Amino acid sequence: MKTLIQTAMASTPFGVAVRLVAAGALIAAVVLFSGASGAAPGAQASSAGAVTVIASWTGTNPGTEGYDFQQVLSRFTDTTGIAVRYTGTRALDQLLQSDIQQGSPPDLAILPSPGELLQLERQGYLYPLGKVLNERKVAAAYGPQWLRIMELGTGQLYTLPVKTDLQNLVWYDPQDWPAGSMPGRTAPTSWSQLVALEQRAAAGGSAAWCLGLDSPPSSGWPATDWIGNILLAQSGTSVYESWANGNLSWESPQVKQAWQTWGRLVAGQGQLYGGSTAALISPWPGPGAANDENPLFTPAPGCYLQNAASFITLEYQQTPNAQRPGKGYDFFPFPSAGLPDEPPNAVNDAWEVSADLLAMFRSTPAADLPDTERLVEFLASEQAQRIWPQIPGGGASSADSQVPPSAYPDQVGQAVARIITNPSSVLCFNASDAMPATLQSAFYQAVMEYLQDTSQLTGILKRLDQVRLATYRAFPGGHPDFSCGPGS
Amino acid sequence: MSVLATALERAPSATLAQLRQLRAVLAALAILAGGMALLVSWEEHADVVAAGTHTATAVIQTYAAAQALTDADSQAVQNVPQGAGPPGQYQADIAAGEQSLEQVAENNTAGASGTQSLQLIEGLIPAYTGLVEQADTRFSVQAGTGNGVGVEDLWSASELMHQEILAGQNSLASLRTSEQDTLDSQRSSPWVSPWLNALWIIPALALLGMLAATQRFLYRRMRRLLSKYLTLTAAAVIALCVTTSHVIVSEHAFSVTSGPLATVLTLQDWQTYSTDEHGQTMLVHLIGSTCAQCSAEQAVADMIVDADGNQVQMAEATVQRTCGAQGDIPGCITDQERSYSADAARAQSGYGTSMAFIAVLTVLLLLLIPLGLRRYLDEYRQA
Repeated sequence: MKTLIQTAMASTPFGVAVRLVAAGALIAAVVLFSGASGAAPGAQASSAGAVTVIASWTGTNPGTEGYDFQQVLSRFTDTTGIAVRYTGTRALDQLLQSDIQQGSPPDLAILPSPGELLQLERQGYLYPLGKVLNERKVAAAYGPQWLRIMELGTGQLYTLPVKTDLQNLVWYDPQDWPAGSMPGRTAPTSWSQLVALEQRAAAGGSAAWCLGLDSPPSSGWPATDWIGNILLAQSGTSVYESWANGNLSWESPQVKQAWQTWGRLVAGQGQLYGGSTAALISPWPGPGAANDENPLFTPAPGCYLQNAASFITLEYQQTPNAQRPGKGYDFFPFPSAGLPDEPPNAVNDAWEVSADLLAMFRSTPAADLPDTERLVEFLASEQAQRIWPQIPGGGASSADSQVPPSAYPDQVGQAVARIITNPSSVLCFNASDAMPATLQSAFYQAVMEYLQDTSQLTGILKRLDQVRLATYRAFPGGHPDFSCGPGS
Repeated sequence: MSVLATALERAPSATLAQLRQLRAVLAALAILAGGMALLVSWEEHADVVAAGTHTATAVIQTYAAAQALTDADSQAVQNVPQGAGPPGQYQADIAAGEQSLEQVAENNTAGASGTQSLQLIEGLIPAYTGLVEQADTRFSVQAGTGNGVGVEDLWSASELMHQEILAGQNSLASLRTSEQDTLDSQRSSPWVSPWLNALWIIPALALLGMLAATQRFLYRRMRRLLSKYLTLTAAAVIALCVTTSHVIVSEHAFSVTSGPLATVLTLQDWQTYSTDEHGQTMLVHLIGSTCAQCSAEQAVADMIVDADGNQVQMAEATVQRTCGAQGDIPGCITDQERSYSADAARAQSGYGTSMAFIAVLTVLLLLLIPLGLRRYLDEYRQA
């Protein structure tokens, strides 16, 4: 070999030839072998190391919840360089259950249901956020009631509200109502005033209420908010808590009265836009939403009022005639129905709230744990909590009292924020979201059955109570303990 | 090579050393030629198998799953409102859809996002069937259009099918796109590129050139006629070239074959579209006769199957060309799938034998080269 090298190195024609052959062969080998060791084209970029997050917010275009939440995540990635793989789906429960069954839950899930989260916690799936967040700081920022919700009644921090909403609101188009004819936003009215308002709306020949219940795979849920609102208004917080925690029978007089009250408000002739069947088939957020002609905002309104949570403003923003908060649309609080312990026309200081709650799974691989914890810390920070509420028309609120109402871009958002973060507000978490999934699903179906035929109420409530008894019997660790309480 | 021959002639004093060098260079080139032939054949085969077998199967099965699930939805819409329950075909369609999804999972090349989509779709199918069963329960009590909640359950199920399972983020459509992108990438892999494939032949040609130069050197220096071993070596190199070319050309022909595969996909898409159009038309009528105010929902159902006119025309042309005017589309799809599978099998047939032959030829080269030069080396050693 030494002779060959010497000869090859010599500047003879033979050496040149040998070098040429060797070099050519070497280049060919390098080209081929480097190709062999390279990544196969078309192979997906590895997602290893990315923090996985699932939530119900879908959409990739501006004006959708999915897009808005991605803004929050993008800020995190820009700041830390940590990649996040987000999946938004309306079928969140199905995806999560499928992931859990296959032994690969996401690192983080954002669910609207503390009932389901409590079930997951009692089954040992959730990672205590007390290991990640400073509980004292969290308590100071969110207040005692939100802390209770975040603890799921366990005394340990398991969840974090990423987005918060106020439930018991009635929305209308101020242009349809002469000045002074509507109850004010901050001075809730009495039940009798609401009924009078409904009658006045219906007198013009249009329907009083806009309602759409179609929202697969959870159709029916918008009506369950009605029942909760009415029960809270009619019977007060202790009855509401008892019902939400599965301790009160669905056949109790209070619950039955709430259903009947709802029936009287919406199930009569001309009370709902398009009638009951149209409400069943119309998509949430309301009839006409499918073709962008929300009858609440048409020049000749098809309906005048809509009972919905504050996140509906995102949908209103998509309606050409209703893009100006406070002028194109506004709200007043769902009124008190005259509680036994309150004087007539008393201010209703009990509010139904909902939230999308972040939870972390124990199965997060050790290697991904620091990144996941950093994302949790980021989402709990005042900086992150401000991002979504500050998006114009985003319809999001924060339970963090460090995000002041002035941070919101419009007067409607500011009004909602003032209620949610007001220390004197009594906040009750949305009861249907606090219930176990099986009962919640039965509730969704039951409101649709009732709307179709109100004469079936007794049977409907009896069935629901049977589901309640069976569900809580099987619920791990007994009934949950979600209570109403003062806000921040 | 004449330069090389001249070089050999101009170094008579170093004949023994040059013979040794020749042996080493020839052996090195033989290893390189044989090794590269094996490598190129192996890699191209791996790409073609991945594309033609796994990825193409995943793509075909996403289409098949969409077809089966669309048909299930159509069957449900047509039959459940009658109160007689979903027909056997509905159950068979759901089972077929799930089976197709299992095959997609087995052959998934879309990575983590593909797995995520599959998990979501597999989780959504029970939600869909649950809604259909719920509608069925309601219609079994009260059949017909007067059952608003039953109609809502069916409408809700159909929306779930069309907006979450068949289309949308993490749906069958997005999964199909990912798998198809992977297939396209595999087809344009460097290993199936004709230019890169041509590179493997360089060491083989260099080896042939060196063999020719060696023969000439031996003839001029020692006045020997052709060495039979080196002639056999040259024949083995040619056999190596022919065998490797055969493997590469047949694999390459398959990798760029898109005829039967594209036809299968177009036919499946067309069948899905036709089925869906029928089902959604029924749903529009059902909603319309249940709810006079639900024109917006009817419009949505109509819009769901609102396809691009040009695509429809092209699909119709493919259907007519492949199946005839009154053709049996499912039968046609089966025929085209068979044709595709046969094409795939043909391209891969004899691969193992060819690879073994290439390996044997490489070993043969390494035996023949020393044998071819041994006699001359011995003569010089003795001298």
